[in-house]
Amino acid sequence: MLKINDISFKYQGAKDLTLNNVSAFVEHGEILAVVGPSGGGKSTFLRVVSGLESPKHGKILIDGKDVTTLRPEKRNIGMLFQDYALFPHLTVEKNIAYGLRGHHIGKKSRVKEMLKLVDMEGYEKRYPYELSGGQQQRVALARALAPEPKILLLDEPFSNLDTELLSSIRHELFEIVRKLKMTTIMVTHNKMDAEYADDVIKIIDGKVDQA
Amino acid sequence: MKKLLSILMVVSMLFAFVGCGQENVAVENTVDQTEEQTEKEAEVETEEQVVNIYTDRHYDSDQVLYDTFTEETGIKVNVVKAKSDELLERLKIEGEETEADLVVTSDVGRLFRAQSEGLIKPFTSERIKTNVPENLRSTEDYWTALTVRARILAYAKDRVNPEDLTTYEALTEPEWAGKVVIRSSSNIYNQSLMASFIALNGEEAAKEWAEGIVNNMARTPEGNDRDQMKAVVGGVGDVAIVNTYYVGKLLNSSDEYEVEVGKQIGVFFPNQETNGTHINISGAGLTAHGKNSENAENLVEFLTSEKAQSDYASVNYEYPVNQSVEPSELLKSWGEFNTQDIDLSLLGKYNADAVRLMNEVGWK
Amino acid sequence: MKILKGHGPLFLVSTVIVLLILLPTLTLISELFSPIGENWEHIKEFLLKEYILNTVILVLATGLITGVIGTYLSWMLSHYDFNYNKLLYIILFLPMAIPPYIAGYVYGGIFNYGGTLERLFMKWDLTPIRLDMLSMSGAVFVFSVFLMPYVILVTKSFFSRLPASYFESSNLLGKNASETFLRIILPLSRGAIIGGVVLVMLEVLNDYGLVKYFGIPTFSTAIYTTWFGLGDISSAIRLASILMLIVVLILSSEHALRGRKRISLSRANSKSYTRKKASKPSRITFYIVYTLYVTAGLLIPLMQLSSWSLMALDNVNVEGLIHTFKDTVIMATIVTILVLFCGIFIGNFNRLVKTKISKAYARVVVIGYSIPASIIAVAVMMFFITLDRNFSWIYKSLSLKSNFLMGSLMMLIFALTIRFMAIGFNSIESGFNKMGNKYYEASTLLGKSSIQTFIKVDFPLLRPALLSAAILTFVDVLKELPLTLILRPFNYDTLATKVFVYAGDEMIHEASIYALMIIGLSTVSLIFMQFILKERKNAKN
Repeated sequence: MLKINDISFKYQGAKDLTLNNVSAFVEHGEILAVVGPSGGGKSTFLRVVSGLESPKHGKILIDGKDVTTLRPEKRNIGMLFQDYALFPHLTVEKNIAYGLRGHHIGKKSRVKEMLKLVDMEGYEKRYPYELSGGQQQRVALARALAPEPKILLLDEPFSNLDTELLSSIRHELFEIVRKLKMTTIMVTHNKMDAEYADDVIKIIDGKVDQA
Repeated sequence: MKKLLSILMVVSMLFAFVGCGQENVAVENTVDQTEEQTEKEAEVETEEQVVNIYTDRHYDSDQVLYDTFTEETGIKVNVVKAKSDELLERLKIEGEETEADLVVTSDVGRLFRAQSEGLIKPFTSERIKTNVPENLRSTEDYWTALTVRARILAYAKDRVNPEDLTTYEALTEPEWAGKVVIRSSSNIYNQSLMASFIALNGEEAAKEWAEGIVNNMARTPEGNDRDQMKAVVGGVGDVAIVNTYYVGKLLNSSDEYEVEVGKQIGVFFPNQETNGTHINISGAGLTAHGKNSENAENLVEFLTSEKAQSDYASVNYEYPVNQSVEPSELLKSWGEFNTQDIDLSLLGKYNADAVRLMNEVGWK
Repeated sequence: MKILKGHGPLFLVSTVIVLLILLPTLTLISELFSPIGENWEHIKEFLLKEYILNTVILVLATGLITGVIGTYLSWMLSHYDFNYNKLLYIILFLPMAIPPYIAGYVYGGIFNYGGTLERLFMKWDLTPIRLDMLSMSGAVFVFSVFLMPYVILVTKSFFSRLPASYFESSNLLGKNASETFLRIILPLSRGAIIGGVVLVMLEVLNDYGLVKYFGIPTFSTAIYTTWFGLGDISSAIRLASILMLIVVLILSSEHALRGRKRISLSRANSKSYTRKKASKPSRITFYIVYTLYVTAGLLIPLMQLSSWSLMALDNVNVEGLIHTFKDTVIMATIVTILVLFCGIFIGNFNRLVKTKISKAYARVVVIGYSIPASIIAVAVMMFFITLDRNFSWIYKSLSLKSNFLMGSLMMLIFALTIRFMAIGFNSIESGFNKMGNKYYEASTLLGKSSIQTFIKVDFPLLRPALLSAAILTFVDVLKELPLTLILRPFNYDTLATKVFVYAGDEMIHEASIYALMIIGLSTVSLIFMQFILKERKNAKN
C-alpha cells in the first residue's frame, strides 16, 4: 500500500547523503518499525515520507499513486511529532478538530468520537499546558487520526514519557492503531517497541541494514 | 577586582570630566593664559577676561566679529548657541548662578520677555546710546538692537505686477485667494508681525487680517521663509511674506538652484502709504546676574560701532542700526522705505495675544 | 526581611538607584498641584484636540504599518530559505541606525520645492511630481520605515524560538502556508508582535525632531513650545501628564492584548529543520517588499546624505567635528557603563531575592523608557535645581561653583541613564533568567563570597547579555536628541544636537556630515554586536 523506492536525501549544506537509496514497503494495516542509532537517518526518513522534506531521488507511492512531489498538506498523512506539537492557544477540542473540514456539527461529533477512542472524554475545553505528558500524547494521536489519514507516522512516540506509564501507554497506543487498521510507520530507538510491529527495518548511516 | 577598578575609574573620570566642564573652553584655547588652573579652582581676580554670550544668532560672520573683538581687547568671547526660548528658560532657571553675561536674540519679542521677567538689566554705556538711535533701543535702555530686518512681500516676478501690491491688508482681498504663502504661526517673526498689527490697528482688525490671510493661503503653512519663496517660484503661490535677509541669502547661496530662485523674486515694501513696513530687530541685553557685565558692554559697544555694523551690513544682508553706516549694495538696490512707527517693545508685549488670536483663526 | 539576609549591600545599592529614578518623577507630580498657568484654558480650547488627534493618528498608523510589514518581513526570513539569508537579515535592521529625525531631514529635503527630486526632474526636462512630504502621511511614512526594525527584531527572535513542529503539524493536518500562518503562527506570536509595536509607539511619542521639522503639532512639540516658547512650565507639565496617560494606556492595552492565558511553548526541537524555498509568487512578493523597504530605509538616505556631505566638505570645521565626536562618544560610554552598572545591581538583586520589592524595583527601572524625553528633562532639571540649592553649603566648603550639578554634564548623564536604563536592564534580566541561580548557589556553597561569585562566575556567563545591552544603549544614546537638546550644559554639543541645529538653520549640507557620523558609528556597533553574538551561538553549538 505504501511503497518507498530508492529514496536518497541530503540536507542542505551537509556533506554526505542522510538517506542513501532507502526502500521500504508497508502493507495496508501493518506497522513498520524503523530502528537504528541516533543520527542515522530514521527521523529524516519519516520526514521524507510525510512530505516535509523532498528527496533528491526516489519515489513514494501510496496505493499506487505517486505522491513524491505532492505537498504535505495534500498527502493525507497523519503524524505524531516527538514533542506532540499541540497548539498551545487552542483547546483540546479545537486541536483535534483542526484538520477537519466540513460542518461544525459534523466536526463536533468526530471530535467526540476521537476523544472516546483515546479515552480522554471530558477534556474538550482543557488547554495543552494543563495536561500531563501522556495525556498530551493521546490528544496528539487523536488529532492526527481525526481526518482519517491513509497513513500514520509516529516519531519516537515514547521517548518523552515516564517509564512508569510507558508500558500501559504503549499498549494502549498499539491497541488503537490495530483497531483502526492504520497503516503505520514508527520510528523508535527502543527494541521493545519494535516487537509490536509487523515488520522492522534498520537504518544505519542512511542505508538500510540488511542484516 | 577588575570590574570594581573600572567602575572606580569611570566614576573618577566623571568627576574629572565634570570639573573640566566647569572651566568650559577657556582651559583649552587661551593663548594668554599665565596662571595654572586646577580643577577645583574658583574665580580668581587675575584670571583672563571673558564675556559669555547666550545667542540665537547662528551666522559664521558673527564669530569673525567676536574674534576681532578678542584681538582688540584681549577679552575672550565664549558663545552658547541655542534657540532664544531655550536660552531664556535656562536663564530663568539658573537665576543668580548663571554664567551668561549677554543675551543676543534674533527678534525683539524675546528681549521684551527677558526684560519683563527680570532677566536683563539696563546698559549704562553712553557710547551705545550714540551708536544706536532711540527707537531701536528700549526705553530705559534694557536692550539695544544690533541689526534691523524688514518683513516684506516677496512676489513672483513673472506673474505679479508690483503695481498691484500695496499693503499687508490687501492680501486678504478676494483677488489673492489661494495665492498667498506664509510660514507657520509658531514662528516668532509672524507673531511679531501680528503683534505690530495689534499695536497699530487693535485686536479686532488684527484678527480680521489673520483670518483673511488664512482664507487666502495657497497651502497649510510648512517650511521656513526660504521655502515660501521656493514655493512661490515653483508656482504654488504668487506672493510670500518673508524677512529681507533671506532674500539676500538665496541670492548668495552656494547652491545655484537657490540663486535662481532668488533672481525670480521681487521685493516689495508694503504699507508705504499707510503705516509703514514692519521691522524687527536682532538685539542684545546684559544679563541681570552676569559676572562680567563690563566686558559685555564693551562687546556691545563694539558690535554697534561702525566697523562691526558695516560687516553686518555687507556680509549678512541685514540693515545696520548705526546710522553712519550704509546698507549693502543689494539692500540699497531695494530702495528706501518707511517703517512702522511703534515702540518695538510692543511687539513683545502683544506676543501672547498674537499667538492666541492666530490660534483662534486656525493659522497653523 | 529575613530573605534579604546576606544581600544587604545589594539591597541598599538597588534602593538608592531606584530612588534616584523615582525622585524626579515625584518632583514633577508635585508641580501638578501648583496653580494652573494662564495659557492652559487657551490650550485646552483651541489646541488640545489637535495635539491628541495628531499624536494618536501618528501612533496608531505607524504601529499598524510596522506591525504588518515588519512581521511579514521577519516571518518570511525566519521561515523560508532565501539566498544570503544572514546578509538579508542584517541589512534588514540597519535602518535602525538612522534616527527618524535625520530621515525626516532627508526626505523633507528630497521632496521639498527645489529638493533633489524636483531637480532630477528638471534635469530630465520633465514637469516634476510634487509629493507633500512635510505632512502627516509623510511623517507616518518616515516613522514606519525607520522604526520597523524594532518590530523585526522582536518578532524574529520569537520566530526563531518557535518550534518547527507547530508549522509542520498544521501542514500535515491539511493547511497550507498562509492558513497555517493565520491560524497558528499569528495567534502564538501575538505577544511578540504587540511588544514590538509598543516599542515603536513609544518611540513615536518620544520623537521631537521629526514632528518639529514636519510642522506637525503633537504633544512633544507642544510641551517644548509651552515650556520654552510661552515660559509656562506648569502648562507644559499638564501636557506632559496627558501624554503620560496615553503612554499608560498603550502599556496597559499591551498587557491586556497579550492575553491572559499563559501560553508556554514546548521546547524547541533540536533536530535540523531545513528551510524551504518559498513558492515563486511568494518569493517575488517578498523581494519586492524587501527591496522597497531597503531602498527607502537605507539606500536613499545614505545616498542623499553622502551627496549633501560632499557639498559641504569644504566648509566643514574639522576641529569642531572631532571635538563633538569625542564629546558624544565619551558621554555615550559613560551612560552605557552607568546603565550596565545599575542593571547588574538591580537584575542581580531581583534574581537572588525574589520578593515583591525586588520585582517592584525591576518594574521601576523600566519606567524611564516609557516616559517621553521632554518629561524626563523637565523632571530632572527641577530635581537638580532643588539639589543644587540644598547642597550649596557643601559647594561652598569645597569651593565649587554654586551650580555645580546643574551646570555640569551630570544632569544630562543622569537623565539619559534614567531613560535608557530599560534597554540595558531588559537584556541583562533575560541574561540572568537564562542563567538561573544554580551557579550562584553552587559557588557560594563552595565558600566564595557574593562579590567573588559575581566576578568569577556570574559576570563571565552574563557577558553576551551585557554586550548586547551595552551596544544597544550606546547606539541609542548616540541618536538621542530631545533630552540632550534641553539638558546639555554650556557650550556642549553632541553629534545629534549639531544635526538638529544645522538642519533647523537650513544648513542641511553641514548637518549631513554629522548625520553620517552618527549613522556610521551606530551601524558599526550594531553589526559588531550581531557578529559577536553569532560567534557565541556557533561556539556554543
